Amino acid sequence: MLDWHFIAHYAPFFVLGARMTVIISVAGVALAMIVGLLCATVLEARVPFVRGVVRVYIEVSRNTPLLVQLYFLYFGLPKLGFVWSAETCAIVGLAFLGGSYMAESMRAGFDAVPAVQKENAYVLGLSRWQTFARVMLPQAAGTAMPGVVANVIFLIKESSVVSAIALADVMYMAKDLIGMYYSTYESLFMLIVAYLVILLPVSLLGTWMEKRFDYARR
Amino acid sequence: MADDVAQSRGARVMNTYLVFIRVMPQLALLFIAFYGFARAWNWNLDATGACVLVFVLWGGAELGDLVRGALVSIPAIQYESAYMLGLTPWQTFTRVILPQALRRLLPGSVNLSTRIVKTTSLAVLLGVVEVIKVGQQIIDAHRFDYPQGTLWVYGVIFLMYFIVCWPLSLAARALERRWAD
Repeated sequence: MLDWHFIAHYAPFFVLGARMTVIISVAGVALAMIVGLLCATVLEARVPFVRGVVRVYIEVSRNTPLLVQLYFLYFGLPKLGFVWSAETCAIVGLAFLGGSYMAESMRAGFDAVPAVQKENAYVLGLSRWQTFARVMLPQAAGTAMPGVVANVIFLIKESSVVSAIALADVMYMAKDLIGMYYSTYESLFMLIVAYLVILLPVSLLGTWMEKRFDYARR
Repeated sequence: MADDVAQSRGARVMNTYLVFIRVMPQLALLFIAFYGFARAWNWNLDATGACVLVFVLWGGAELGDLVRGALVSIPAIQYESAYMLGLTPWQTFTRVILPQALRRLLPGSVNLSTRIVKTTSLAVLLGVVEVIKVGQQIIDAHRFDYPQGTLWVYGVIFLMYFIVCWPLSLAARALERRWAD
């Protein structure tokens, strides 16, 4: 049913595509985590004014599709003078979308730490930064971890959309091969295998991380 | 509960289906339905049909997971008490379990509906003439007499999705807060 010669010949293209998917995802997820942590910290520390900006950002980012965000970044913003490459747009888009999801998960983690922990840390003479870094963050990480892992997988899946702004990821390769050779089965097969190869290790690593960082129950 | 689910063959088939649908990107599912099904079974699905099929299958899988979560969250004592009072299994399910499960299910499913609305934007990549495609046509028609169009058209589409999804998100959050137990 499958033409294995075809698969052997074109598999390297999917390896290249998978590399693009991984690069975009890793950069996007890393930036999203930084944005998410900053936003969650701002919400947690109740910084005036900035908190309102963060709230608006979270609502806008969560309620619009990534494809429209990407089109806006890639085709719309150049009219305002911001000309970015497709790679930059994809990474910024993923970070913009993922930042709000990460912020929500991390804020849930902070909310789960009882207020008495913070009070005790102050009483023991820890500074605000020490309290945050040594007391709040480790405990919040355990509760936030399942949500963060789910977001990472969600963002890798969403990264398939970047093929729409002509980035050669796995999705793009599959579409190209179907269009050029009508090799529907082989292309879709390689597409499925590529995503399984990328996503299954992430999912397994995530399960391990959830156990590793579960300080509350260890 | 997990062991019970794994026991029957039907449940195992459903589990594989759930895992596959949820691990694949939605765009990949759209491609499988649009290009793969046409070749495999000679289904002459148009792009809209393929999208509807995928959103039914994917949304169903996600909703199924939410329903399972809601049912599992009902404590066993609710079943036991209902049986003690002499209710039949059917009565227990419809009068005791379902009302409680629905309450826990609703916020998540409203959230899922916003995700489905957002995911429908992918339909343009199969060639469905929806809001993004119409936007692109407007941009192309005025490429030379109004080159700034891309910014405004994509901005308006951005806003349109937000206007549809935001009230749903607010409703989901309000339900969550009201029915938190």
